[in-house]
Amino acid sequence: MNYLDLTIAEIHKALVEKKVTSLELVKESIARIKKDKNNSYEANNFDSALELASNITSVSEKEILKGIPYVAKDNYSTKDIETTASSNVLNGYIPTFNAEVINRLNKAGAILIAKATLDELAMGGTGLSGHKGATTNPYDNKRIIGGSSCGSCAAVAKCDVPFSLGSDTGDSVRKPAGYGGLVGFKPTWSRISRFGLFPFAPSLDTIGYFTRSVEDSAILTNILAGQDDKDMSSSYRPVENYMTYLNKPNTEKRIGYFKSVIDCIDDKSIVDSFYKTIDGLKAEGYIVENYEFPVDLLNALYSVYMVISCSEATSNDANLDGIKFGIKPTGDAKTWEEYMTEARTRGFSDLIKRRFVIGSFSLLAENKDELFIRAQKARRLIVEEMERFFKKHDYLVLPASKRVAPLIKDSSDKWNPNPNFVDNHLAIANLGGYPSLTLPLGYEKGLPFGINLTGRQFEEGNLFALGEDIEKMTGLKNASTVTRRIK
Amino acid sequence: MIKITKSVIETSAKNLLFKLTDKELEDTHNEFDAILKQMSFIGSIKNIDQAEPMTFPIADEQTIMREDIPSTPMDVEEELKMVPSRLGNQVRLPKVLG
Repeated sequence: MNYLDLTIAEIHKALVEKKVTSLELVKESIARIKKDKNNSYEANNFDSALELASNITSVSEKEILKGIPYVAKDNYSTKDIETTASSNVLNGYIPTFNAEVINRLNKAGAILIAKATLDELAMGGTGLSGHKGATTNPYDNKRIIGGSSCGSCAAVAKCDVPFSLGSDTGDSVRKPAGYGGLVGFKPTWSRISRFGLFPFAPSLDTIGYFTRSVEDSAILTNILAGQDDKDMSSSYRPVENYMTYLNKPNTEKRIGYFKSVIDCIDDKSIVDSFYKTIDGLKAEGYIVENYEFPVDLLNALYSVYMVISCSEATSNDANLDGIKFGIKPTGDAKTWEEYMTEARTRGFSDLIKRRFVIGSFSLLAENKDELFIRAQKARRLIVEEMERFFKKHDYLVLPASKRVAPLIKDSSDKWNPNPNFVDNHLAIANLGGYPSLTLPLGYEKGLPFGINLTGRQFEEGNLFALGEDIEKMTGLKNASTVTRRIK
Repeated sequence: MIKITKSVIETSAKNLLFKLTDKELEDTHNEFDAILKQMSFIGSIKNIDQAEPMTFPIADEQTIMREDIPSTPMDVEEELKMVPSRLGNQVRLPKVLG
């Protein structure tokens, strides 16, 4: 057993007791990252990490993250470290400031060791569209790990680090977490500052992270949550101590699920595991009921998400023009239009161009009312239905996906002509700004699958409490390709 | 709603300041069949047009006066480090007028 294979809480204890040093952890992490076979990384920060770790001589009980290595998705600004969001348009861009979450982790003593790759500009769901090629699943190299936070997920699943930062606009942390057998969490919209996170669709974007236990996710939320003057959307609500929700009986016990979603899942292992967990929760005193969510709203989820996110992205990424940062055109541009056109033509992949065209088409004056505004109206109706749901239930609980990670050859980021709402239900949490957590539920033929929990805004603590109860039932705390704790 | 054609897609791309290859144009045009089919699901939602558009998920707006605390802006040299082309302490842009 190597200490790097443990959870944050366990590594912290070992550091306090001087059973391991931060330098040993960082060296082991670097060695593992150098052996990466899943195309998980962009730039590294090895030299600075080694220097920081070598200066750590002791860790106190209160310094929960001090000396622990982590990786960050490459759409977080990191001072003096190239940050490309896995897009050629940003090749060579070296930010001059840190994202707020990076600063908070620095302050807590965590050690950034590398930047993790992603779907280009965080706009894919497969992990196949980054500028360095496909990122694969550590459990099976022929399969996707999911996206867009593909590298961050792979890094934690194979114990290169005990935690990583991702970002979540539609399911970009919580879907991969299911495919990677991890805990993946997104907080309430506005709970954690997004300053320095490259925007994709700001009305949906949140910080997110991967860990190997629910407790670790609560630990990170304690460190990262809270108002930030640099992010005008960040909430002034007081931050709770999320650890107080753990290791005690959960008092919020009303669970709802959508049978219409479960009925769309063909994989018997996933359905059986889900209902077995439901039965287990009932035995623990939870009240579990089906909720009839209108099918017309479920059917519209994919389109609503795509129209809103592509439209917002079209506007947000207008600053990627080759002038302020990123690639410099090589041609002989005579006007600013020619200059920017050359940079953007060369810098964006075909996937990104298609998404921008979709967004632009939705925002055309002649189309706006019928497409973009109508999608925003549908978002309202979906969220109003969820508010009715949350009057009767404390949590929405559903499988995180309809199957284990698909093969790369069966995966695509093209607009799905026949989407099934079971593929898109995780986006409900983004449309409503709800906190949402995926954790491991089981394995099929050695491949993990997950369960997802969504709660009311600002009730992150209750999600951790329910997540901990499910984690005890499955016995899948600290699951990874190294520990292979397959039940 | 405007009928989607290759010409409309090319115009959108031009407005977005990038060019599409023939293959990208063809793929995007083909993809719109699926897109428009899916978008019809939104239109078929009951009472959709009576709903108020939702732009952000948090309803409670906060109006807070911040303390007027002076702070140091980013150093000019630091800022210019990431500029592809500079002239002195300014960003060098392509020539716009003859």
